Amino acid sequence: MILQLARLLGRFAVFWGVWWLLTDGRTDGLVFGAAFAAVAAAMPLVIVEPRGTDRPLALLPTVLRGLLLLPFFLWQSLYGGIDVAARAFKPRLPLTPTLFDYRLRLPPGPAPVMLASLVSLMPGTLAIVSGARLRVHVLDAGRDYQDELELLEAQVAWIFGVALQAPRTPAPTRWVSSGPETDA
Amino acid sequence: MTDSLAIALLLAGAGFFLAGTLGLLRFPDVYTRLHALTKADNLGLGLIVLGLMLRAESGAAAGKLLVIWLLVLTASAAASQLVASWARARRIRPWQG
Repeated sequence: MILQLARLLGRFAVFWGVWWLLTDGRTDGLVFGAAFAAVAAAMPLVIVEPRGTDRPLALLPTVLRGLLLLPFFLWQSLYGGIDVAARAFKPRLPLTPTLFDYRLRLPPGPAPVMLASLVSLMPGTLAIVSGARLRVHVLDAGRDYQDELELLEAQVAWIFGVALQAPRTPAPTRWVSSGPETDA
Repeated sequence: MTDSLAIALLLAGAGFFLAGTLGLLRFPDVYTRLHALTKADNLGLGLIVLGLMLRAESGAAAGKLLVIWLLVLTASAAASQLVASWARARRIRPWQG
């Protein structure tokens, strides 16, 4: 009950903050915004959670923890942008792409999607969620990405306040072609 | 001082947009092109947003610009995952040199 109330207030704070930003910091609309933020914050009490969500997301702590890690993500994103821009500008187009699977330790829900999005901002990697795996496309097959992915996964777990589990799928990590494929 | 920094950031942002477009045109397949679009364009927009934030009239206006960037980041991450999933479902094989 206390937890539910805390989460309700947390959501309210986030939504009211967004309202404040959207109205360019005007003070005369804040009461109006508070009413809408309150309704929006109460919504999850009425609406059923999507399937596969173990427990409701604590919005305010998630946003705050995300903001704490923002400098790291921005730095990686800067590095990733410079890396791919340099490749695009080089006349010889230095690309040795490959695909592999990364076995997720995150529970299903929003966290793996967040991880895939962040991986796509990191230098040389692009990811989609495929069941209990992350399908990762990389620009430089000669590099090892395992450690980076594990670190990133642990950070996402911390942001969402979830525990990492043992991978839910068996081994092979290098991607193997299955069935007929067409060239791009 | 602030103005010249803002101009530098805006120009750098434009440079990354150029790189993203160049990558879109030059890279060999759908996956590598997604790399160019998600990373270079998002960074370009980030730098432009940063440049504009320096010239924003209030803290809230600057925060709004930042939120715009985060929303575009989210949209672009979702779009790139959808395009990549679509390509995988069509069994489009990644280019391997």
